[in-house]
Amino acid sequence: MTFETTTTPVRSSGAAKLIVPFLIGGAVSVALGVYGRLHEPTAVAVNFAGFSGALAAKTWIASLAFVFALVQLGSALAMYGKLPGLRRAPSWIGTLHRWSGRIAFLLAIPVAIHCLYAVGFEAYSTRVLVHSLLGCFFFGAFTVKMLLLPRKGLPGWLIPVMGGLVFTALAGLWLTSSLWFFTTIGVKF
Amino acid sequence: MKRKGPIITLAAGLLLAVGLLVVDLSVTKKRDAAQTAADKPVAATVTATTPPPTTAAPAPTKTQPPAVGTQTTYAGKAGAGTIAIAVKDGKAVAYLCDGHTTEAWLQGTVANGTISLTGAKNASLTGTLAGGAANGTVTAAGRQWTFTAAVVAPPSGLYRASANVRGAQVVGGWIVLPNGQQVGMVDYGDHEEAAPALTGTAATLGGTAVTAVQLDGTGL
Repeated sequence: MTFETTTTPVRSSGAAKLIVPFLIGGAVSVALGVYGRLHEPTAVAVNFAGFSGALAAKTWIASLAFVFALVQLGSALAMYGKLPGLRRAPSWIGTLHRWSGRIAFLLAIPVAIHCLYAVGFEAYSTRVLVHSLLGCFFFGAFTVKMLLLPRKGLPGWLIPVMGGLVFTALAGLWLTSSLWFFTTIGVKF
Repeated sequence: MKRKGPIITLAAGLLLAVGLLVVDLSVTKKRDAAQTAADKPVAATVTATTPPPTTAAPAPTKTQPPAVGTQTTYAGKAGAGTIAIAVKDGKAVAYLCDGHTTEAWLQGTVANGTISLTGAKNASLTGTLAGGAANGTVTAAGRQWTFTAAVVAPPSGLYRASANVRGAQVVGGWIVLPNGQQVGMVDYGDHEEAAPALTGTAATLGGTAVTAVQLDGTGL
C-alpha cells in the first residue's frame, strides 16, 4: 500500500519537469516561424564591413559557426569516451565544449536575425523551406538543451540526443545556405 | 557543471538578438525617411526636365495617348528609384527598381487613363496617364514611392530576362532610359543585387548568357 503511493507521484513530477523545457523550446521555434512569416521582409540590414554583401557575410559567419559546431561534436564524443584511443578525456574538454558551443550560438544569431528581418520565412523552393524550418527548429532545440543541462536525474541519452539534434539542424542549415552560396555564387568574400 | 552557465548563454543570445533587431529597425527607419525626403524635391525637378526628352524622341507622334493596338512605354523617377511602365491594349506591366536593394514587378490594366496594377508581396501601383506622362504612387517592400514617368521610345524601355541557373530561377529586370542609363536588378531567388549591363538584349546572369525581352505591357 505505502509502496504504491510513494512511487506514482515521483514519476509524474519527474516527467512534468522535462515537459517545461520542451514547451519553452517549442514556443521559441513557433515564435520565430510566425515572426518570419508575418513580418514584411525589408531587404535591409546592418552591413558587415569587408564582405561583398550581406549574403557573403552570412555565409562566412555561418561557416565559422559550423566549424565551432564540429569542435562541439568532437569534444562531446571525447567527453563520452567515444573517441578511439582517448578513453579518459582531459579535464579541459568540458570547458572547450561549453565555450565552442557558446561561440557557435552567438555567431549564428546575427545570421539568423538578418534571415528573419530581411528575408523572412520562405517556401518558394525546397531548399528555402527546409532552411526556414530548420532555422526555427535549431533555436528551439538549443533552448531545450540549455534548459535541460542544469537538471539532475535525466536519462543518460537525453543530453546527447539533444546535442545531436542541434548539431544536425545546424549542419542542415549550413548545407541549405552557405553550401548553396559557395556552389551557386562562388567561394568569395 | 555550473548551473547558471546555460541560462546566461541563452540570455546573452537573446540580448544580442534584440540589440541587432533594434539596429535593423533604426536603419530601416533612416532609409525610409531618406526615401520620403527624396520623393518631394525629385518629383518637382522631374516635371521640369521631362519635356526635352520627349521632343528629342525620333517620332514625336508616339507621345499621343495610347490608342488600341499602340504600345507605349513610360519611364521615370520614383523617389530615389526608377520606374518603367509598358502599356498595350489596356494591359500594363511595371517595374520599380532602385538598382541595389529594392525591385518590384507589377501587372494589371489601364482603363480610361487610370492605371491599376498589383504585384507579389502586396505591391500595388495606382496612377493616371495624361499628356504623354504617367503619374502616381507605387507601394512595395513596405513603403510608398511617388513617380512621374514620361514616354520613351525604343531602345529605351523595360526589359526582362529569366534563366534557370543550377536549379534556381533567376530573373533580371532592366529599365533603359533615353540618356542611355540603365537601372536594373537580378533576383536570384533569395537575394537580389544590381544587374550587370544589358548590351542590346544580351546579358549574363549567374554565369549564364540570357536574352532579355522588351516588355510591351501584355504580360511578364
